[in-house]
Amino acid sequence: MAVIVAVVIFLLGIVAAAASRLLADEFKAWIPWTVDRLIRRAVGRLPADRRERLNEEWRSHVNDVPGEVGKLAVALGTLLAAGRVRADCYGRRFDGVLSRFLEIVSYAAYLIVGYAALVVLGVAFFILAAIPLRILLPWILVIAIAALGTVISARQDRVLRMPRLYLFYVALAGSIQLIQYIQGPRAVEAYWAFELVDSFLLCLMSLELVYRLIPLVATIVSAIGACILASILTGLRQGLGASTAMIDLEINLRTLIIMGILLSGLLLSRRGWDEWPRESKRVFCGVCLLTLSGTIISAVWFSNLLGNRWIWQFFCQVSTVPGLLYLMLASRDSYSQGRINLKRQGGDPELRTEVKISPLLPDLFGEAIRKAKEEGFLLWPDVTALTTNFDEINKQESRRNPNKSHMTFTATDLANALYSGQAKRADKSSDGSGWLLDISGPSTDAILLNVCLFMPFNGPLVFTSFSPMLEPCLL
Amino acid sequence: MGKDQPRLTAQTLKVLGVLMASPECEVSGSEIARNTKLASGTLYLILLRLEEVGWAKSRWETEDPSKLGRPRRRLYQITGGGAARASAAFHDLSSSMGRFAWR
Repeated sequence: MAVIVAVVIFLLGIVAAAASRLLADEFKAWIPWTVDRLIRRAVGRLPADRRERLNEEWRSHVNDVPGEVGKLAVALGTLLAAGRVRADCYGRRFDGVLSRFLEIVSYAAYLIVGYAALVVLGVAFFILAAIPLRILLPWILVIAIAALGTVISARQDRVLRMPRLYLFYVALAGSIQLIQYIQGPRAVEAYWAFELVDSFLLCLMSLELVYRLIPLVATIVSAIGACILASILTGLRQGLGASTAMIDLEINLRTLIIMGILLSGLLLSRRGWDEWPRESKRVFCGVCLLTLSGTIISAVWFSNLLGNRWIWQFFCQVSTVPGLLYLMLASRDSYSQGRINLKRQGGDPELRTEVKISPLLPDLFGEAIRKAKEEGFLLWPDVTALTTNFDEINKQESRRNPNKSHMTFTATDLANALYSGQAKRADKSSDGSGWLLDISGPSTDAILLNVCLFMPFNGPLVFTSFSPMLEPCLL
Repeated sequence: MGKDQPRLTAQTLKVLGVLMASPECEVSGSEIARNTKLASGTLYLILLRLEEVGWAKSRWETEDPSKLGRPRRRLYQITGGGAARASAAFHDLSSSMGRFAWR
């Protein structure tokens, strides 16, 4: 047994000797690489104006040191030296390392808080812009928006009374409540007709306000936030030792990005995505592409400026994120007022209309509409007149673009035309040819419902047929 | 401590001592480190400070690194003003130390 143990120990000793030699060789082989990495990392921590000099000087120092372990020790020392040189540099620049430390901490705190606030604001604006008609707004918000509407209506010598405020509220909350409201007093009474029509205009204006204003506000908030964060980051970057020229270049680029966001937001707030001409969409996509490219270039710059401190890179890049996020979301047509496409169906371009409602409408409003019918309220099937001034619009459009197969109007255009009395009565076309009104978009539902509900009291309106999806619940 | 005078710590005095040992000679960072036994983490900050306040000056080796087969060395030398002020500082320090020792 003892012999076996001795042999095993002997063999293990040989193996250990061979292994230690191998390990030592391996360690030795890796030292130059390690030294190089350590010096590179140390140089990366230095202020920009010291890097080139100390890089060469430290490599020279390491080269002068005999022995691999000694080189490694010197290389490790350069890490410490870099930290001290950097601290010394910042300490002199800001009259003390402590104040510099506090400055960076405060900047980072502002950045984190500011970014979080911007994200929250961005999401809130998006939700408001996307689904204002689907949610029951808090009463305080309704009062605030209605107060804004009052300012506008006051200019037209209108007085906002409670029924209108309520109507505005239910219009924002969804047309179901609107229908429920008018189930009570019969709309054929003149007083209520007057009230409803006026309220419709108020609702219309308020909806216009919401849909046009929110994207604009979101864009401005995003742009201002990005500017503030960029200025905060400037201080942060200077503290981290980036050169002035690079900082200036980066800030200029970021300014361009912010300008792009602002410009795109302004364009988007003027008209919905659906309603844009194709050329404008191309320009917008180009702006988005440039913005994205600028952000990527900016990120690369930061990588050069700040070395491997990815966390700083992350924080430095977030200032443009809310704007980009908003652009991405706003480019969808979710906040658009909806679309009415007037399509040529056959040889007869005369006035035959067909209304297609968003598939959501029957689900959301079908039951309410059915209930309203049971209450005897004047609804779609009871309306017998046809209204349109689209033939005139079509002529204008045809002159502009003869090859156009369909026309696009907003629901608001339609409502305005109807309300202002530009609509005219026309007979039904028996052959089924004519125009197709294709209505889509979440907000369009409510606007269209308002049109259909209110127009009977104000002027002629008829929709000769409905989409199959809506027919079972309406007709 | 003004902008024209570094903090005269023990390490700084060591470096000044090496530089003033032969004021006409230029010495590299590695040579100073070898003579002072200071680690690189301490040494280079002191050298940079001395250079910034004008007590020392430095230059690169003029030889081509490719011919030398190694990176260029940075050579340090104490300036005339630096030598005078360092001597004065040494004198003040030694007299202070003397008074302290005498009491």
